Parts: sequence; structure tokens; C-alpha cells
Amino acid sequence: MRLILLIVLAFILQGFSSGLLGDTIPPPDLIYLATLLVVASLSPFIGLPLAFSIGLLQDLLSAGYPGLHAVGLLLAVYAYYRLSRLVRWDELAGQMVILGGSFVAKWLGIMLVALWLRLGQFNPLTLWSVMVPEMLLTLLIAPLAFGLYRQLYAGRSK
Amino acid sequence: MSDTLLRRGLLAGLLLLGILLATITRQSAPSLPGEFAASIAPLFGFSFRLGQNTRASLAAIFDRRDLRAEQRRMQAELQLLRQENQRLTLENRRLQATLRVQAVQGLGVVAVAPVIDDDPSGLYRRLFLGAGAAQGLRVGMPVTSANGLVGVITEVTANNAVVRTILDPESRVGVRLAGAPGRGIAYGAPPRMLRVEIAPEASVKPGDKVVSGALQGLYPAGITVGTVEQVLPVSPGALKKVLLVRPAVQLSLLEEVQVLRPL
Repeated sequence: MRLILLIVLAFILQGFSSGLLGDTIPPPDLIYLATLLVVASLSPFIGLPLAFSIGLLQDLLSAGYPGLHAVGLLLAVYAYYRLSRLVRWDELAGQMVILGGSFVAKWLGIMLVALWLRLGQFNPLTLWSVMVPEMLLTLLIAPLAFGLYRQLYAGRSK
Repeated sequence: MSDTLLRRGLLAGLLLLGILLATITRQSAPSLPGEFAASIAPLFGFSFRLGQNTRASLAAIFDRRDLRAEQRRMQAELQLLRQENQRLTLENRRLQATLRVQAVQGLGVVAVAPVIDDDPSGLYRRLFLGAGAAQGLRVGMPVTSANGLVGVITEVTANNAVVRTILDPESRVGVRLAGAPGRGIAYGAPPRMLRVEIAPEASVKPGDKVVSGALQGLYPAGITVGTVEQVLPVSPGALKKVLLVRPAVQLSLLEEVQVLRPL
């Protein structure tokens, strides 16, 4: 139940940040962060299909091509699992490597589907102005989001 | 090992599913997710609108701050303009007075000089001007204002001059009555009156105007000197009639005077 609430909250906050920042700067990808928070405590066998489902929901809600964000989040979560085994999450540099690699994997997934669908406008040359600020903002708020979630989760557990 | 294979298999399966979904729904993509999004939109749309409203509120706050800065800048500018306006008003008043002197008295104005001080002794009635030889002032030049005669320049330095006013006890001004025949001499009678001695036959009453009148004196003829305030009784056999005349110019309020070309 808590996980569903977290995802719903992420969608609400994503809408809020999109409205708040407008066209000036791409908002941080809060749904991506929430997905990582959700799957971090789950096994990959549940985490991967869950990430795929959340991405699919995002596609449907944003009236996009179903599969675009689904594959993006799927690859992001897979990269997260793989990198978490290679790098220590406890250190800030480790977190940045894991999150950065996972974020790049997300965009690779989106690009892959876009390439498959021959969507000309989805390429790094035209989307770098979206990708880079989004990644920086996401990485910037990621420690805060993870810390907050951990505190809330610990509070509830007690 | 089997775990890794299973994981990779799951990844590959979901990847293929995603691509398959995207391929299948590509034709209907604009309508199918759109319909879904439209039905869900009110649920999440409010947060987007909330964000937009927050942004608009923040923009309004920052705009207001900008407006405040603009207001402060404009107030400073207004203050400057007011000071400039004040300066121009004074300049205008000075030029109008000069024009009036020229129009009424028909004389050549050499300079308009500021009054910077008056004689502190109380005995003499002299003014100090903030203009001197450098501005063309010379000893003997008559000094006047729009209201009437002021005096004559008695000393000049490079940038200052001393005016002996008509109230000074040493002052002598040839005068005549403005509305009737009769000429005389006005002596300064400090602190604020003139004593005019005139022929006893002259018909004069309080309120009559007295103007400068001697043809070859220091002052041009026809400049207002003052108004008769009192006619002293003439004693039998007296050779002169004495009038007390209030000067037309309030010397203590003078700010600027016009210096005329000497006769």
C-alpha cells in the first residue's frame, strides 16, 4: 500500500514540478526516483516487472507511445541492480555512479524504442537540452529524496 | 547462475514486450493513451495546475519586487526633476523680473545680481551683491527691481559689489510726484522710511506715488521710489514740505536685483 502511495505521490509531485518550472527548465524525473525507491527493497524478479508497469502507466498518463517509458524504466532499474552490486551505495560518489548510470540507461531505453519506432525527433542531438538538466536536477535531489524516504520508512517501522 | 539467466531472460522478455507494445499501438497511440490520459487527467492534472499557479504567484511576487525597485528609481528621478523644476522656476522668476524692469522702466539691464547679504550694522542700509567687476558692474550704476528703485553701486570688487540703498542715511534721490507737479529730494531715514523734502506748494496727500525724477542725477527718471504715507504739517514760513514715504521695495526680502547702465 505504501508503495502505491509513493508512486501516486510521485506522479502528483511530477505534475506539480512540471507546472512550477514550466518551459524554462525540465523538471527532475521524480517518477524514476520513486521507482528506484520502490524496487530498492524488492528482488529483481518483482522489481523489473514493477518498473515496466510504472513506465507503462507513465506512458498512458502522458498520452505517449506505450512502451517508451516502460522500457526506459526497465533498463534504468536493471542498471540500478547491476551497479548496486558493483559500487557501494553508502558513499555519495557510489550513489552518483549508480544513479547516473541508471539514468543514462533510462534514456538509452527510451532511445531504443524511439529508434525502433523511427521517431526522428527522439535523438540525443535534439534532446540533450532536456536530458542534461533533467539528469542534473534528478541527481541533485536524489540524496534528499532517498534520505527522506529512509527516515519515513524507519519511522513507520518503529 | 540460473538466477542471472532468469533475470536476463526477464529483462529481455519485458524489453521485447515493451517494443511489441509500442509497435502494436503505434497506429492507435494518439488515441488510445490519449483517451486513458483524458480520463485520468483530472486526478493528476490538479497538481500540474497547482504548480502553474504557484509559479504565477512567484512570478507576481518577483514582478512586484521589480516594480518596487522601479518605483524607487522613479521616485529618485522625480526628486531630481522637482529640484530642476524649482531651479527653473527661480530662473524664470528672475528673467521675468528682468523683462518687467526692461518693459516698465525701459532701461538697459547690465546684469542680474543675487543679493547675498545686507549691512549688519543697522545704521547703514547697504546690500552686498554676488556679482562684481567680472560681471560688468561698475561704481555709480543704478540698482533696481521690478517693484522699484533699490539704490546705487558704491563699491565694486572682482565678484562682489556694495549697493547703497535709498534707505541709507547717505542716500539722496531726486524725486517727483507721479500724479502732480512738484520735485524734491528723498533722504534715507532708517529703518524703513524715506524723508522727502518737496516744495511747499506741491499738492500731495498720503497714497500718492513718488518716482525718481531728477534729470541729471544718478538715477533714471520715472522709476517708482515709494508711496507717501504721511505729509508732515508745514510750519509758517517753511521752505520745504516734508513727506514720509514708504519705499516700494522691501529691501529685506530682495533676492535679486537688476543693475542698470549708468546715466
